Amino acid sequence: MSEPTRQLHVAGVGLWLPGVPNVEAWRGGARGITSRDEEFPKPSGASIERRARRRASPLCRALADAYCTAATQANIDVSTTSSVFGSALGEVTTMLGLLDEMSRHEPLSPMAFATSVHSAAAGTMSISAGNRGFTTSISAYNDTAATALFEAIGLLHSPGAPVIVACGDENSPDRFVSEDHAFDMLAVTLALVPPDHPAPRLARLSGPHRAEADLPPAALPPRLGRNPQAGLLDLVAAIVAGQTGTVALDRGRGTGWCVTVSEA
Amino acid sequence: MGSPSLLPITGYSVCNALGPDRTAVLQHLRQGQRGLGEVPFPLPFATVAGAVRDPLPELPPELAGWSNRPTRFAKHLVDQLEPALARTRERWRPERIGIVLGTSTSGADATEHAYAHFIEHGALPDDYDFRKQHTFGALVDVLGRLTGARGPAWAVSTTCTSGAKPFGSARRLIASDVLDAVIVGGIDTLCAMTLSGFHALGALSSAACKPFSQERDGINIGEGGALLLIERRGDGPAVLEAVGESSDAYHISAPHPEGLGARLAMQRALHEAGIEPGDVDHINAHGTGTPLNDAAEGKAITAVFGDEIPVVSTKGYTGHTLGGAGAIEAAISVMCMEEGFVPPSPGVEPQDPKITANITRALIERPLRRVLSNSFAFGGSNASVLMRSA
Repeated sequence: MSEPTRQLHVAGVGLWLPGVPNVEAWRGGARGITSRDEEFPKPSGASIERRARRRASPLCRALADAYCTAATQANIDVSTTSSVFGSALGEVTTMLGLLDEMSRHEPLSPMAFATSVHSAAAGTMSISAGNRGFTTSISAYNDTAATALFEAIGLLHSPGAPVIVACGDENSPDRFVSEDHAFDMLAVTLALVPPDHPAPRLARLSGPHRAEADLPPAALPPRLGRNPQAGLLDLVAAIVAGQTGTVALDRGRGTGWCVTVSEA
Repeated sequence: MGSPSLLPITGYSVCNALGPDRTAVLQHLRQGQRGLGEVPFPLPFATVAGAVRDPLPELPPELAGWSNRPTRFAKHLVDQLEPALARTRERWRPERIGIVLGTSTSGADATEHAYAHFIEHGALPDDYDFRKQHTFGALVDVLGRLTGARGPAWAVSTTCTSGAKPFGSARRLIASDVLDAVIVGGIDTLCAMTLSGFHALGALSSAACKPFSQERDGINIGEGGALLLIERRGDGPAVLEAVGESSDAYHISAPHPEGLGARLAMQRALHEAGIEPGDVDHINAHGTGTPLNDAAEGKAITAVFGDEIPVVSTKGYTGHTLGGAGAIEAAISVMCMEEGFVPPSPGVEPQDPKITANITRALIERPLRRVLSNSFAFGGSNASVLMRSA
């Protein structure tokens, strides 16, 4: 039996990676830095409320920047839209900082604890946008992007309003991840709209489904290519380039979820 | 395909400080016996916790590399659920069975120990694998292997609503025809970092918690989990009727003082089900025992339901099981409908006079048609799960 066809309409995209602060820079040919030691502008987090911005992690800021780019492009009201945040490791640097404090027998920072949770970006964005609607924060390692799209499919079906999918992972923790598996931070967003939404479309997606990819992954430095969300970046790269075909959302490292990109 | 109004809960399993299975949990709830006690590891401050003292099974040899406390909880819960799971697998192809599991800590306990080893010896333990033992994805992978589910599978991690929001995901996944059955649930384990974090926030009680009491001064952390099977069709003890979700849009670690987001979640659940507040017979409250949380929830409950509906916080029995709480309390709610009772809310006396909700003081025995289970979290995440008897 074949899987049912599921259609997703993309009306906005956003991205942040080191040295590539937005889609325009990507269009201009930037593909990310090759060393963590290189200088590059940090994500601004400009859309985050000022007090919260001081506490926001680089991942939270990168997700916020990419989130607002996609929302603006799709002309979506961020105070009412549903949001699905996805990350394999979430705020792992903040969490490991807490373990450091514990190992020194120091009392934990209450704010660090509150912002160490996986849903820190989701909470921060809903507070900054004054959004009392739906937001969630999910994780499935290399399948995070695909499962975020499944959650979005359900939300687009009911209640049938736009959804922003925002996936990202910060630098892998050096002490816990070997060099050959280490990855650098990136954040990617899609603004998805229901079929009858008036926003201009960038592309139409079918899936996620388990298939063979026929579009090659984007050319990235190895450490960026190993980020668990790199497959979603490949999808955005295909949309921005106007390519059609099937993209592996897990870059072959998960359970095989792909999406097929068609013209809008 | 429209939104499904009624989805059968075809089976469930539960484990927490009250006991390792439904029978033990039910017995202790009926008797009003708390499961709170000593924290099973040293801490530099005083508190009590809802630890699970019963032994947990080991994973099968092929999954040994993933073995940690949450995956062993998963194995224990799957073993209990297996008769119902077998029927689910007969009804649906593996690709049409998915998993949405709540967890806030996943393998943080294992990482704590690995980090301590690193500090002492300059290297991680030989048997520690960050990917397999720390990540949310690993716990979901193990659950997939143990259950045979091959559909989409993910963890929800929204702190204390982690175990409740999967019910909403399950409804949407079935309504949009992505899946026919979803294994939902929540699992979390005690770890020093979580206890220390809540202590740092000033939210941890040094004694047994007293939800909704005038004397309440904080939470107790617990551990455990529950799994529930939600299907497009089938027979079971209860039905998932609606899930209301909202955000406070207020503060990263404090609830809206008027319980605005909590109220919205409860109202959305009622709206989705197309029922009136008077159609609900009982509320299993979030009821953590902190001054702010209980005050906000109390206001929200009375604003929506008035002050007659029986309300219980079962966290006084189990401790706050964080990412497991929403699922554990949904399972307890199903039990209450099956058995026709509302347990007393431990520690409520003397009830806070500013909280006018009807917090139960003694066992109530009567048929329950509908129960609402509340979960509220950091970042203003709110979820209310509405279930009715089959």
